[in-house]
Amino acid sequence: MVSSRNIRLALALLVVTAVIGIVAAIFLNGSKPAPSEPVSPQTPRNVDLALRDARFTEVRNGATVWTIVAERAEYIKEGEVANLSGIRMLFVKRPGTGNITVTAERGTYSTKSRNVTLRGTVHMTTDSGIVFDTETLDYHAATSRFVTNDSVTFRQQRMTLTARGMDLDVDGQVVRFHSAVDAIVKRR
Amino acid sequence: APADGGVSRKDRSNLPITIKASQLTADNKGKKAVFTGKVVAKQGDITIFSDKLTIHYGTNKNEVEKIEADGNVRIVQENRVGSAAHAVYDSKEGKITLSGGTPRVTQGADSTTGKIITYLIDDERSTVTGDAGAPVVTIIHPRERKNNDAPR
Repeated sequence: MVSSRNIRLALALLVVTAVIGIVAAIFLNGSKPAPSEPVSPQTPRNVDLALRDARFTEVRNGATVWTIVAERAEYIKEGEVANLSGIRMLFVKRPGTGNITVTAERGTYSTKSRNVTLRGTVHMTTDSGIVFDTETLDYHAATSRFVTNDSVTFRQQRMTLTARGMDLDVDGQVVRFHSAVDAIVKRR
Repeated sequence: APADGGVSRKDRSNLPITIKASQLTADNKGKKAVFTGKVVAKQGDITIFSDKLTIHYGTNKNEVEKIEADGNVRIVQENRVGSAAHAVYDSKEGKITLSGGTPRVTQGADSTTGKIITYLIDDERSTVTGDAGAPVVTIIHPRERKNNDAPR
């Protein structure tokens, strides 16, 4: 016959095992990292607002001067700068000036100064057939000028040239190349 | 003028023009491009050196109507050198017009100066006009006679 002492021993063993199991379960559960909140992908910590297909427009005297469409725009609250990627900037046709379209991989837009920086495969085309390529280009809103100190390739009608440094006056529709101008004019 | 009444004139306007310079200013309306600073422009056998060079596009988008050079202009074609303060090069007509400063064309040891010199690139001919202030002066050095070239 199984003595009552053994039964009590078995029961005690059972209880202890159960307690250990419960404690282990709690402990295991406790150490699992809390499931991370669903943060939008690639949103850096200092970005307050991230937009997709963002659109910026510069209006002067009631007329649109240019429009920027960016595949992605990230805003930082303190700064007044938006970091853009997948940029397309279009200058609207006005009397005396044709359309100008500029695309670039990334850049910034300052809501205060209205200046734009463009970086990475910067490509510009104009109505009158100018085609222009460089790696870095800055737009100065106050003077409506595009400026770079980088090497550039430029094509206009029969002329193709390379140079270092360029300054394009959007209003006056005049472009100046600063140095090392090497051009060829030939029938296409 | 050559006995056969003139040489067939080559239309060089199709040849590419290569230009090196310190700066360039081009207007977007595509009417002209102005090169400045140690400009060297070449088209075929013609080389133009100047302080400034302006390319005037024609109405037809594919055309260069004329090329103007200003400041210390020197135009070299084989052994012929033209120099002046201003020059206009018409590549279609094969004609260069020199004016301003002291227009001069030298060929070997011979030279001609005047007020305006127009020389036809393929004709080996120049037309020189002068005035009181800049008379036409031509200096020709007779070629030295070789021994068997004695007069008869």
